[in-house]
Amino acid sequence: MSGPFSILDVLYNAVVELQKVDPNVTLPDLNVYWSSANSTASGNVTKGEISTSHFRAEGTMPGLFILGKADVDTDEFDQGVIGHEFGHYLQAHLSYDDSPGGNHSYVDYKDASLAFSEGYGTAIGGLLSQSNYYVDSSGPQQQWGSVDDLSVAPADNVHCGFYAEDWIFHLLYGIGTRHGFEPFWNAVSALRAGHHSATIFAFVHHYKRLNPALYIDDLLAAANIKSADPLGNLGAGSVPDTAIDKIRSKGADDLEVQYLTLQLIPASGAAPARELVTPRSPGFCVNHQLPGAGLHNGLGMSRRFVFQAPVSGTLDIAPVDDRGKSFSTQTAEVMARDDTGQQIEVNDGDYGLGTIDVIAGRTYALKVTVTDPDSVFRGNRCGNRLRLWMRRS
Amino acid sequence: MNNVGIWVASLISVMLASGPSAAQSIQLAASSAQPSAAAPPLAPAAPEARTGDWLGGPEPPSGKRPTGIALYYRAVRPHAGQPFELVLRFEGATRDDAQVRLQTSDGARLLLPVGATTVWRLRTNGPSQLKVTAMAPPGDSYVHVLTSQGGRQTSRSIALRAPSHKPLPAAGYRGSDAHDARGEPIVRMQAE
Repeated sequence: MSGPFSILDVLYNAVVELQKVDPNVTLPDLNVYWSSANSTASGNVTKGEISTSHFRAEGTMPGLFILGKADVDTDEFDQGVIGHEFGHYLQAHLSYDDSPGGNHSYVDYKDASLAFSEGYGTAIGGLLSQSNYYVDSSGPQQQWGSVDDLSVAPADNVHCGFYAEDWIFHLLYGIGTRHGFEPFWNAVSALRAGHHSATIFAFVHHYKRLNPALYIDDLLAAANIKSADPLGNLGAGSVPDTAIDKIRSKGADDLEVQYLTLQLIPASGAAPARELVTPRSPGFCVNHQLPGAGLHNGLGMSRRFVFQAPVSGTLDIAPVDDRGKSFSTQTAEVMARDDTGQQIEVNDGDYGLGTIDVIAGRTYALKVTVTDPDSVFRGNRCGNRLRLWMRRS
Repeated sequence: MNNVGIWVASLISVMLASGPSAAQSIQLAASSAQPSAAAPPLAPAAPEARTGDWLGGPEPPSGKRPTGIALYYRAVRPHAGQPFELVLRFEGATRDDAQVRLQTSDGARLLLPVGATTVWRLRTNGPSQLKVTAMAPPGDSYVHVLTSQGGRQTSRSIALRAPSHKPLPAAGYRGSDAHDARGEPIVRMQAE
């Protein structure tokens, strides 16, 4: 039974590498659940039915779950797989992760946070193990499997951009090997601060901010990453990405827009009990027409917003469609983060998706995700708006 | 290091010597366990629309590099030692090398004609569907569905949970799977 030692070998070596760049790094306890009974069945994890190797940040059994069922799928000797899942653990505890989770593959157009999280996991697994090969064995006598060379650009038919996890891992591995692990890790760690999502744009922003002398622009260009703004704002004259334009998406012309800025305009004078503070919020599309986008984690199923609170109070968050009908909590959800990097609790409300408390002068970001693709008629709906209603404190 | 580790290390050595030229996945060592050179039969076509209740779905979230083939399945709850039909539906096969292989473990069996295949090619012009007869022992056992496409593999396992007792009469059955001290099933009738 050398499986546990193989897993520990990967984790130990990863921690040694982390300590080289941060001798004071503090890691919370990590449970690793491996067994030769761990199979790809879904159900009772105490029987080994773990679905696949994965990391759980929360719940009654947080930790790494690693497959071990011989002749079906074993991962205890697949260093890349273990490193990937350990990377998710590091991101959850030492960085920031707002990936919506869910199914993903190399042919999919995915939400920017999912593409970053999965690409980062694969890249850091390779960087920490100092191997450019991502090996995943499976099948009878473990003689099936695949190998990805992280140092080689994905094939021409693989999507390229902030929505493509294969290009993200190739880009991040390239950055990490060109200039070393320390600047890479410092940029990852910096994602803990700020109100932005954990996307490739925020990573690049911090990398360049912390390491202005390190050249990575050629790598960014190859990966079709066109902005170093943490909110992914494109510069003037940026060439539109035709892979995700209105024609390809069958209707959405804003899939390259990461954040919409909201101007909150409270009424002057006495505050009413509840007032609409976003009377001129911009429209946006929700769309899942692109390949692999037909789930809640697809490109176009999450929309991000940023605003500064003009006064303190409680905000009701209510996205509405082009006819003014509100999205329900059965079809959508919202995440919120403030400019200190803290995730803001969204409370139940009697209107919209919930409420958050805001403080005057602070900046907040909201991420609205449509969780039920079937609610998007014909896969595309434009003219939606985010309405915020305020009750001043 | 066990055989797997040795095999992987050997493989990487070979790869380093030959130098992979693309980031695409590479099919690992050839063996009798790999899809054979003789093309396996093509799985029957399934109705384009998926109707009714199905279990399964797209591959679960993971860092592993999945095939992109979604597995849906339906079956009655098996009873130990009694054959039952398992229907498997595959969506998302787009490449000519897309295949599925069925395996069992923990006592589950597939009841197939002598010499019948357990490997099928999957259709790329629409969903494929397989109907197989399986038998489960008491307790938990598994049918493993291994799909491959584009040099990538994904395993999904279907848990067969077969109670050891005989099927209960459907009429009036309101109970759980409780048993008395002698192992006989307890049938609870609704009081009128």
